[in-house]
Amino acid sequence: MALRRYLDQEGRQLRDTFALRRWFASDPEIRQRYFTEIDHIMEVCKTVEGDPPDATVVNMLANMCEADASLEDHILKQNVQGPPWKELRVTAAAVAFESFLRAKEDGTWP
Amino acid sequence: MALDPVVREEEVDEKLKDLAEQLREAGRKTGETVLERRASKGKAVRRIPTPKFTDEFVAQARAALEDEVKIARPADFPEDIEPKERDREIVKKALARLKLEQLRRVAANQELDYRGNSEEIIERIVDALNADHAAIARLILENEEPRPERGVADRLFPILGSTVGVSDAIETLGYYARRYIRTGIARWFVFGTPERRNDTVVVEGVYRTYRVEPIEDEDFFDLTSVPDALPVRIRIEDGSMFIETRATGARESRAAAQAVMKVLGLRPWPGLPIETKPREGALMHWDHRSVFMASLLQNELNSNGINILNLTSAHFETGEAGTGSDLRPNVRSVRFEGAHLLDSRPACELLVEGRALVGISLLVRFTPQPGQSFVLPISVSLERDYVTVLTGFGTERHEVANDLQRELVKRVERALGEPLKDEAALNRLAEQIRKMLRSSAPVERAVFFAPEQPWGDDRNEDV
Repeated sequence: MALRRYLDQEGRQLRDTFALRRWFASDPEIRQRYFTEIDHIMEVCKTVEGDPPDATVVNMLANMCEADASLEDHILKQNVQGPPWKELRVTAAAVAFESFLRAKEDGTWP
Repeated sequence: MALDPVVREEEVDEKLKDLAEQLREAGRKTGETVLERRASKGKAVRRIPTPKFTDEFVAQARAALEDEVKIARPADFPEDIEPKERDREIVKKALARLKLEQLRRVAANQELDYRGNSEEIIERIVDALNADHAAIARLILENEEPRPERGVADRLFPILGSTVGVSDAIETLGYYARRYIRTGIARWFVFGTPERRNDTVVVEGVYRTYRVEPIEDEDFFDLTSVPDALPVRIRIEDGSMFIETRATGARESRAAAQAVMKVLGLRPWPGLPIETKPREGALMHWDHRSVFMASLLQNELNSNGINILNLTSAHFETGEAGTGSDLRPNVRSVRFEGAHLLDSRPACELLVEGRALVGISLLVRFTPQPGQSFVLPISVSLERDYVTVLTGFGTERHEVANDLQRELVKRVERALGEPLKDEAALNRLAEQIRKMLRSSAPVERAVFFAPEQPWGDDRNEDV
């Protein structure tokens, strides 16, 4: 079965330009903590239909990205004038979420 | 615990706000831990103040959650609903009158993703246009199917075995001016005073009827009646074999036509005077109404100042209506909507199976004189005993739609009662359609009654 994807063409471009997958893989702590928080969001926001909508998970997770200095450090290292912070945080959250979906599918999380 | 299907707004807000705070805290801890490790390895760490978007993230998350959870907001506004939400929904409702195919066309023209269901596409259009009323209204008028409330509708009722003379008609109708006749149960037609305009008689009349309901209030029983008065303009041309009615609906049109025929001593044609009987070729397997429509498209709607741009809907009669008592499933009619429908397999299959094409809607370019060109939606439908011709206003002046309507009525009347014109060309069309159905190749480009070039960018331009 094809894996569910969240990012559209524009999001994928932003992800690749700012090497957000590299940020996410840069420290095992990041994966561990983001996956734990995604489980937390899923639990808090679940509905009678089941899991919350993907956009709810990603936008809530963007709050975590906003406070995460490791992401800020990663983006500043790209030396880009005026990076689009809002879009980058949502995209970083989506990178974490897509990775989470893959891990669930592969059975590597939890 | 899962969120209930309906949740009060403040509960959702509190829950998401708390969660956002917990996530921010988790983010802070993650950042600190990771950066400490980086620093301990001698790596430089960069920090600067950056803009915060917490409220926007929470709002987006909540909007997405509304797909699955209904959020009950306080009804604290003059008309209960929060004005911004109300305005946005009104704009969405206006767009919802467009069919899925039309919405897809609009989205594609706006360079938006045109996939998904109507509601998803409507959301994208409203977002892209910032819920701007004027822009949305223009989009709707440019793309909707013609309808009587937003256009001019004439119905042509054929007369059996005779034509009408204007001099006799004006005298007889004048004799009954300001009198009414009953046309059915609690239905009357009131004649106005006839007027002569060159070779035409015009009578304005009113169809009066009452909607009646029995009511019961405790032990008290009564009937309530609500009056309805619907105007109809009747037009009779000298030597014509049709009574033309201009009105919004079919019932007032039919009542007016019946009343005028009675007064003038005329009898309705049983059915429609379609004389298009093919003598050879693939066309012989088609229903006579389909042959008439194809001939109309080829000979009348695509020549001399009118050009077909897009056939947007095709309505077929597929069989007799069953009673339902024998449990046999039965489909009486099928309506296709889309673009360039005579190039679509499902529509063509019905044609060659001998099903009757009884209604078409099109976008046409109308060129009343060199240097002027207008794009307008039109439709022609064949009913049991009359033909409806409809021109929508689109985004043009009403006079332009009126001029096109006059021309269309003339051409449809000319096509009715006449033998088949250019049968050889129509047979070639029928043969091409049969070949297309036999071929396994997908249809990449419309060829039947389609313009040579895409026309999307040349609306309203002077030619």
